[in-house]
Amino acid sequence: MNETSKILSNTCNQIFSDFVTPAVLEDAENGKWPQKLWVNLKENGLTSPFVGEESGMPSLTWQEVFTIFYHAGYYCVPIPLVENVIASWVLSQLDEVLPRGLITLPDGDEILKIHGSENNKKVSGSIKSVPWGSCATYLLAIGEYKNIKKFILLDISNSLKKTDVNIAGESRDTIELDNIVPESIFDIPEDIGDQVIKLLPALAYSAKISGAIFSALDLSVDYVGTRVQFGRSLSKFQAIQQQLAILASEAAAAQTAAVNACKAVDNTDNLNDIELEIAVAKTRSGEAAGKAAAIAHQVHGAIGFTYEFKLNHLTRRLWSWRSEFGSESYWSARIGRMVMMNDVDCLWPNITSRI
Amino acid sequence: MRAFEFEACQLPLEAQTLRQEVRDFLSQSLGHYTISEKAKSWVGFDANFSAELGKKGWLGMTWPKPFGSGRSSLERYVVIEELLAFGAPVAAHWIAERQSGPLILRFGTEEQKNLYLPGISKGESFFCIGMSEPGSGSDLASIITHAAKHADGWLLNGRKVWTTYAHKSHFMIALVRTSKTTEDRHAGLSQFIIDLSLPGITIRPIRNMIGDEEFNEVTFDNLLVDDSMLIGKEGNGWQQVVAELAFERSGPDRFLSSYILFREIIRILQIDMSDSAVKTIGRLTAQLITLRNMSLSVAAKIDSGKQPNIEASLVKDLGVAFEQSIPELAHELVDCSPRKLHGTEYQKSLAYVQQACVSFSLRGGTTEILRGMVARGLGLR
Repeated sequence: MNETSKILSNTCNQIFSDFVTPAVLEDAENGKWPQKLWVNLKENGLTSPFVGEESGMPSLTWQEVFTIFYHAGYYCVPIPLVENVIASWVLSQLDEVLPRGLITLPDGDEILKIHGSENNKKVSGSIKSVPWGSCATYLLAIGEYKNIKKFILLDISNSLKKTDVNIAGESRDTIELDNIVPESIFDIPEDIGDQVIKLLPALAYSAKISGAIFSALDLSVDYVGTRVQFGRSLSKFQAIQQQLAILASEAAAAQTAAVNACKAVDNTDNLNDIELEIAVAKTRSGEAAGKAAAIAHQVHGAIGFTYEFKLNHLTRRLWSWRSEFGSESYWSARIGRMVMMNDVDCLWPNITSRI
Repeated sequence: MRAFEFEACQLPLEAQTLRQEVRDFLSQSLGHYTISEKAKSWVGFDANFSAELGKKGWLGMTWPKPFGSGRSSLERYVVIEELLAFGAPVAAHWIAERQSGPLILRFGTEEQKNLYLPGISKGESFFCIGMSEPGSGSDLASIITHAAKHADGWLLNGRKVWTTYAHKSHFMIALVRTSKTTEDRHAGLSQFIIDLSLPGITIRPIRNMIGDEEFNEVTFDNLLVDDSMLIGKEGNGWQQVVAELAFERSGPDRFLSSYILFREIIRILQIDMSDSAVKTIGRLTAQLITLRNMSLSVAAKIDSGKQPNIEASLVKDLGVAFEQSIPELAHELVDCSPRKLHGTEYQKSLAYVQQACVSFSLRGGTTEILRGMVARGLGLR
């Protein structure tokens, strides 16, 4: 961890432990927007860490921003931080001035039809699975005009919304767009590509997953150290020790996969070239999420199944996040095709030539 | 402070040139090697090949001059991962280069370094490990082979087992008891370099379940060992062994043992690509790439002088699980029985790995022992 990451880690720990309390988590699940948390993150430059000048901070690398995403997972931060950070990054790459409100992104491959004349373009349609769509002012999505894909930034504050939630109770809304005039329409630069709002959120979700797994590990280590059965703490039972060692190995794998994909983003000039790294990150962290959640619950016993004890906030997120922005099924198929469409003797050279 | 940390590792640019040199060398010198020979991975023994590697300067390359070429652990990493991914027969020098040499370099006297390291880096002098005994496997501290002080040095008596390629090695580094067991079970142990050509040593092969004779039982009967063969400090053997094992647990040899079979499975599946096969190969590839990154991260830590024992244990645990899942994958996806004698190269490779893989989670510390170490790192014990 470099100095910047350490500072970021301290800042995140402070803000999140102050503002993501059990009460805030429960309120968020009931649809209440955690305004204090949002304002604090914004003031500290954490909502758009790639856009340096505004906050007076130097622009961060993806390996550094990993730290923010990791902690967002560790603390179950109930806002679309990842979505806002990535949307801001895309807009900054297009040299756009950031709008002031919250920006979100859809989870899915839907492409919105842009219709109307050259001077009067409009967007209509329904877009599903928008994280905090009901709270966000803007939506960054992919649209299509005359068979050419474009980035479109939409003001959705007055659109009709149908609220839904994932199993963690996180907002995943449907937005009905009825002849909305986009705020902006941008050409998609070749080195960014129309996949970007799938790839980067997938990467960020794998970082969040790794944070949540470490959180579940820490919680489990604490719990088995204090809970006494048969006259000794659970931590003294080999069966428990072995399970937590497996949980630790899954945490390590998820983190390694996510960090290395961040490194790949930092090192590339073209996001289309690092699909493999991101697919690996989401596939491996998703696999780890399932295994980790199961072990954490098993060692916690019945207390972990209660709403009051905080483990469920982590595990319900792990199960949600592993399936969002592409599940293991989706990403492993993409990796598998990359491997199998190629000469198998090139597999090892390909793995080792990645930067 | 977290018990373990895996940072992204950046391989130096010069490593890519080195990688290409190794690949060119391998395709020239081992072009005739069959797939089923390659599938034996680092168990394949070929003294001539080891000597060739020595000539190339690829053995002991991280050791300071004049013993090695003073290159980084990451460059060494590139060489060994290329050897393993190719399926080169590296067993002859493997133990000596991976752990005996580094142990001598770290704890040995100047005289010992001068005597043993040049032979290792030339790929001419082979070592085996004398740790396990008939009554001591995972509980290594319970060993009873002992060395008693004698007018002319030490008198060794006892028996070591599972010593891979003892019959083809020149030396063994043996862990023995040099004083009686006390409350501290880890005290009173010492390491000796043993010249296997001396009288008083009996090496008997132990046939393994595959039918191969690679590991042995080595008996010491009043073996007289010179004082100069004690390595490190008398009584410091346990600490030395622990340091040695970190070299042994995190390398690419802990996740590439079944790579050749994995590659051949993919080759067969390419003929008729099913969705489920594509996904399974994708999932396994994600595991492989992640393991390599974890292992590289540990190599970078060792390079910077740290001793990442917990990280190394985590890599080995996940790594051998990956290696052992490959023959399972074969049965899940390919309808083909293994054959030992006259089958296809794929059938013969599967026959070997299917049987050999049970040893992967035993050699170098069982999975249960490793998990115990991780648990200790987590503060559970």
